[in-house]
Amino acid sequence: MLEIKNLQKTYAGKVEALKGVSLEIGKGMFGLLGPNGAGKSTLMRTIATLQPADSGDIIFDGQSVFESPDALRAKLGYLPQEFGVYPGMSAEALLGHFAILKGITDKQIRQDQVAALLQQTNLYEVRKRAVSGFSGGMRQRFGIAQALLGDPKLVIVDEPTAGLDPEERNRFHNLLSEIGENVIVLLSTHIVEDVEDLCPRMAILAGGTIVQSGICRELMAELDGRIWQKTMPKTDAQNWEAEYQVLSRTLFAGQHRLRVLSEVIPEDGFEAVSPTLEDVYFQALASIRNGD
Amino acid sequence: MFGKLLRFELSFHIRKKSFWLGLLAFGAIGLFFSTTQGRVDTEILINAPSVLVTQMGILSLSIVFVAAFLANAAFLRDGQYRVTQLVWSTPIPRSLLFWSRFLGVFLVASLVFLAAPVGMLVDVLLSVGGSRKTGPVEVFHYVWIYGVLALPTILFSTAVMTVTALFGRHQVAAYTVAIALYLGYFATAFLVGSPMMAGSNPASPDVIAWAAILDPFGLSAYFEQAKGWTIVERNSLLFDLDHIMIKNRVLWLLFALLAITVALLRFGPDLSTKRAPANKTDEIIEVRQVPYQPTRSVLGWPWAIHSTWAMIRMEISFLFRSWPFAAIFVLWCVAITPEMFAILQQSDYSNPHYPTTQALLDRFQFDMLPFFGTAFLIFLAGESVWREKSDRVNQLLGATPIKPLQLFVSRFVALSCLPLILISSAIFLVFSVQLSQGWSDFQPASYLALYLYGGVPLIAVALITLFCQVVASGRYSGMALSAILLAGAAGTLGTRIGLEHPLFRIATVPGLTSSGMTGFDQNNMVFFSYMLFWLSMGGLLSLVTIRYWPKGVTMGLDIFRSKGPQLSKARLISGFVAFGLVFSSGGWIIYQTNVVGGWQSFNEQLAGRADFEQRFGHFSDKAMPSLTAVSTKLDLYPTRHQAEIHGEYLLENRTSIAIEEILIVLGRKATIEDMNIENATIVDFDADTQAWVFKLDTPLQPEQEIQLTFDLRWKQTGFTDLSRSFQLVENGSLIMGPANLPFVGFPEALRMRDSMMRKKSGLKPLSDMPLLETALKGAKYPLPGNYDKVQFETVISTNSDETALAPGNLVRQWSEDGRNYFHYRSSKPITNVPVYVSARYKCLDDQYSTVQLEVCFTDERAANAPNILAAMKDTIEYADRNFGGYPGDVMRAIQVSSLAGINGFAAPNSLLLSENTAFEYDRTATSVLIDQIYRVVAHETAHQWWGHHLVPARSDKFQGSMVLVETLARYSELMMLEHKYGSVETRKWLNFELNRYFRGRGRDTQPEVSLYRVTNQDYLKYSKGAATMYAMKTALGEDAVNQALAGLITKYAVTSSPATSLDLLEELYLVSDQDLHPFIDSWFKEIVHTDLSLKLENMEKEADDKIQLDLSIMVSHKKLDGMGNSVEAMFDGPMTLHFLDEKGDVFHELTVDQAVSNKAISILLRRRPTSVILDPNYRYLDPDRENNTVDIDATGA
Repeated sequence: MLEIKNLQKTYAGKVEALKGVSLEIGKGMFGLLGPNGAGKSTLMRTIATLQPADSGDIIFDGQSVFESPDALRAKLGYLPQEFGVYPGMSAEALLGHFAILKGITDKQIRQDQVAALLQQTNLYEVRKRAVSGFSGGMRQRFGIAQALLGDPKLVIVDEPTAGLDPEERNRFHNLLSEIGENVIVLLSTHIVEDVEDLCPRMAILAGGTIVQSGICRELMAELDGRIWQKTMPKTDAQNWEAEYQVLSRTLFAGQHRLRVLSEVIPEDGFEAVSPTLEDVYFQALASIRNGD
Repeated sequence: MFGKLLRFELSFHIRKKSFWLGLLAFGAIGLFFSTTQGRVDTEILINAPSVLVTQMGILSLSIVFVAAFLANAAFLRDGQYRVTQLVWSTPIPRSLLFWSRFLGVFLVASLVFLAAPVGMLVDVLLSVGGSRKTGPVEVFHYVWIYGVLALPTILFSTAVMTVTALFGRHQVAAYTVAIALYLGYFATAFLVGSPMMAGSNPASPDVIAWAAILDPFGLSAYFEQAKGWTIVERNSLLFDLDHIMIKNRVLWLLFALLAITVALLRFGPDLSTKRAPANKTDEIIEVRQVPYQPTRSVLGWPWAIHSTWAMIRMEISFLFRSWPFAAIFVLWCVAITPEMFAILQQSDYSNPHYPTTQALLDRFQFDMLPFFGTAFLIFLAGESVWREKSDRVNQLLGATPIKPLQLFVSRFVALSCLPLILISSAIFLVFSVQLSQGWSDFQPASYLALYLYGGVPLIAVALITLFCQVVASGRYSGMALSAILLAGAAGTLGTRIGLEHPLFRIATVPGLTSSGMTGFDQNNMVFFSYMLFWLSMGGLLSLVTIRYWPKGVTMGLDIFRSKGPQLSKARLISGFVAFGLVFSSGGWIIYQTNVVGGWQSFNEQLAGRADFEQRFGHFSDKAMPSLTAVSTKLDLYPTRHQAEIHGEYLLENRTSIAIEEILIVLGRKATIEDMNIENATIVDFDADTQAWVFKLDTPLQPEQEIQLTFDLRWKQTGFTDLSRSFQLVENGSLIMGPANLPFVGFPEALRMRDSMMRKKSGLKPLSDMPLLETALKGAKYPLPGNYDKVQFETVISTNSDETALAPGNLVRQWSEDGRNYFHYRSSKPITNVPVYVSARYKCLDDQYSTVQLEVCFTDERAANAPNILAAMKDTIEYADRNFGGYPGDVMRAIQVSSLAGINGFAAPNSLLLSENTAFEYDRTATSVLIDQIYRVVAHETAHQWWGHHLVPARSDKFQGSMVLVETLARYSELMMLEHKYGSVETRKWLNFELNRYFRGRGRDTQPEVSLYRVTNQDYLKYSKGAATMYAMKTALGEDAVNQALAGLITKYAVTSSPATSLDLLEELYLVSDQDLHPFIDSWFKEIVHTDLSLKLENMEKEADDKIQLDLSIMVSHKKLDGMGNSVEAMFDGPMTLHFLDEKGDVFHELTVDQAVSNKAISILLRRRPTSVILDPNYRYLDPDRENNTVDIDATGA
């Protein structure tokens, strides 16, 4: 169980990145959604023991992370949003090095795990090549491999599918869902679909605070019967935006498709649709902007 | 468009803090530069053009680094900030982009450097009318120097650094190239004999000319033009564009253009992706499917060690298998290899050395190793500490359980491998040099000692650099901080701001030296104390380093703002231990240095000397008794670095008045057991200097005698009492008097000489030494001499495996209680310059007439002993026959350790030779110019007559006394060389001396004096003196000169009456015709330069195979004053011409008698000469001997 209690973090006295974030996260996949600049990466880094918070606490398995970070690090797997690698080292060697750093000292066990992870991330064939020469997707796969070293009980992945092609993204999703059974996997992203596909529970972080959190199905169910959709020309769409709470406007075959939140049907031509997680997301963001 | 690009570049550079810091730094340096130049009395103006050129020239050396920094910023920033693809997909023409960046760097560098001459100008303007001498302020001078010296250098540096940045693509490349440029500069400066290179000896004129052209900074070209300039010239002449200067500047401008062209061609986007090549694939093997199984991490001590070791291995691989390190390593090898071969070369003053281990190690172990080691560590620490951040691995690493302590240990261990690598490679090179020369005496202990004495300090440096990097929280600021702290260690920086105590010199051990005979023995206590201090200090600082090691995303000081230091038990304990060690070792050092050793800052010393002089200085005007007999009992304990001496001085009143008070000053601090004059009481005692004023119960009447007894104990710790003239150490003990023993009267050596320092300390200015003639008026005869002559006797005891030596005959030698005893007694009175030595000596004997000759040496130095003995014998024979009887029964040549810092030294009946000069010169070397063994031994042996038998009048009261000592010794050595090797070889040596004279007068800051009034100027008493006496020999004949010298001996030495240079002149007058006296005077009493030059006008073959030669002689005969102003004077010859055949033999000699100027000469010869030499016998002081020789080939060219 991961408990985040009222975390606050301000950078250089001006930028308030976290304004009192509290969450409780249990086993399984948990999605953290939020726009760019919401504070997601700050929160991820803080949980991953990379930087301290100004106040608040994080409790993992009953132990405070700030007081004994090493206890968490022994069970942590972290895939940062951006990372580099030591130049000139092969995937096998670098992964082996990190395995040692993470506490796998037995040579045979370590070699086995390195091989297994490289196979799982489909990097086995290029295991002798330098990681610094990998393409973006390969590097991301390497990142997840090193995050899975050892026996992690908390896996944090920060914007993992940015830059992956659809095939890689699928593979990645499959990999994540496999490990998600007995382990807390914290998925931080701004891609709503990823959360929708993988995570039963989620929270929305915007402007440094948690705007909404809960079980995805339940959150979507709250919007049942209140989401309406219609396709119309652009100028009409613009007029509608001024009058109604439009959740999103997308393009569809040259025309604009509006999704609107309303208790009753707004107008002729709108049809009721099932709420998606995206609707939940946009509705949450809209409510902040309106100052709720 | 171009204007806008350029504006962007300029603002890009100017916006940075570093620009303003650079401006400030250069301005400040310019402002304060001249105040750092010595506290010496000088006639040179502070804004003399020569001074301005030198200052700006030295500063221009730093332009290379400025250009490196700026060029990197301009040309590497695309890749660094990853805007390459943005910038290069715009429509801007490539050349515009290049020129805007290039000009940006050039203009900014020029601007930053401009701050320096501006600062210098401001300093001069502020000093006008003050205490420092200023001349008229000419802004044009600054403009000229800036334009001719600085601007081309800036252009060249910018061009080279641009090329480097574009090809190297890495910041480090620029700094590597910068260092290579410096090495090149120092090589040329060395060859040219630039005054900025201590100890440089210029090579042949061709090499010098090339070196001057090849100097990228133009300085060597300037020094070549300005060498030998007098004070007047240095104060007024700006350099002009002579052919060397033009060639130099044009050459480097062309290089700059070439570099710019190459850079322009290369300029382009750097899109190298560093992808691994596709063909480097992995074997297609049976893929063994391994299922993924989570494995629990086991964190405990085994893991901690294992993971730390993994990180050490990785860090070593990153540090040492990288291009920067390869460059560093090459630089190191390139830097020290020439040094080692240098000892196998000859120079003016030394022959090739045997490649002994000590000689080779000394070439780099105390200067280059600490310097390069420190510089490299500063750089590598920057790489090492910030590796995770720059590779952006920090987030991955931060999530692992690795502790900062482990990171620290891995980096520290890896860095410590650098000194290991440097030392091992140096040892390998030393070993190779020795093998290549067929030398087998390897001295492995000295090799291993290098790891200890050279390596351990660098380990302390590594700790400091790591600390600085972490605290400064950035690579470049960390390097800057390290450089500042450790540059303080180099001494100059710290001293300027008053941090003089040796403990402020980070990671250095004061006075660390070693010698072949003694090893590091005398420094051991100091070394271990200081290393314990610095290592534990490093350990203490490392607690901070570890705590704030960059991990995760918080870097360095950033962390200070978050949670404060957490005190774990382990940290507390290690903190206490480290602090305890620092405190105790530091306390021990301070105790030994300040309390026991009486360390004083420079100002305290000054104040002490001033006090001493004010209190006791008046004794130099009072009558003091002279020493007539010295008897000592000296017990040496070299192993304990201790000695005890019991002494008895017999003092006689040789003045005409009664003496009431006697001043005794002890030159070397000792524990005083007893200091006593019979029937006298101590009325004044200064404990700091250890000086006593004894008031006699009854005044000592003329010719009465009185006895002084003393008992002293010495213990040499090495903290403050290391001294060249005093060593108490196994196999190398040396006590040189009279400085270290009780002195009667006020020692002039302790009187402050520098007038600025006297003023600062409140002492009245010293009156200039009166002219010799004035001083002699009213002087009492016999004149006071440099030394008293005494009956000398001593009993020395030392370790059972050592032999002790002192002046005089060995009366008896015995062993007692496991120690060796030696009793020496002089058969005739000797000068009071006792020298006591003790080492594991072996001796070689010979005999000349009644004189017993001995050479004493240690085992490893036996090879040259026979040569030294033979040289000594030859000289004694010559001097005995020509000057007068040898004043003694025994003459010893003794090997002393290099700690004494002497080349050769003459004590009564003995001569000391350093283990690393005469004893180490390779007597089998074939390419030797002059046999330096023979020369040095001849010179020092001659001193037995000149200086000891013949004592000069006190050289602090009478000018010219040193002529009787050093000039006559030079003469003796020249005659010995000529008899053994012939005049052609000897004149090569004379040429060196003449060059030294001309260079020396170009560096003197005081007006030049004529030889007979010399006080202490080396370039006069040695060099001009040698030329003078040789000219006397040419004009008067060797026999006549020797007769004059014999006259000096008979009249003044045998009678123990100190003589002056005028007495020498008298003797020379006596043995020469009246009409030669003006010639003698021109050399001794005036400064006369006679530039003779010879030209071949025509050569014709006559009917009967005879050759008709038409030559013309030009004469420029000048009399000069001390400042360098000259007047043409009448020249009345004679001049000699030598005609040489192909074998170099003189087949015809012609003397031109008439007073002549611009004379044409026709001569008919039997055969064609290959060359004609004007004034071949060095009768005249000719500033340019190149134009005295005309080479004639078959066509008459």
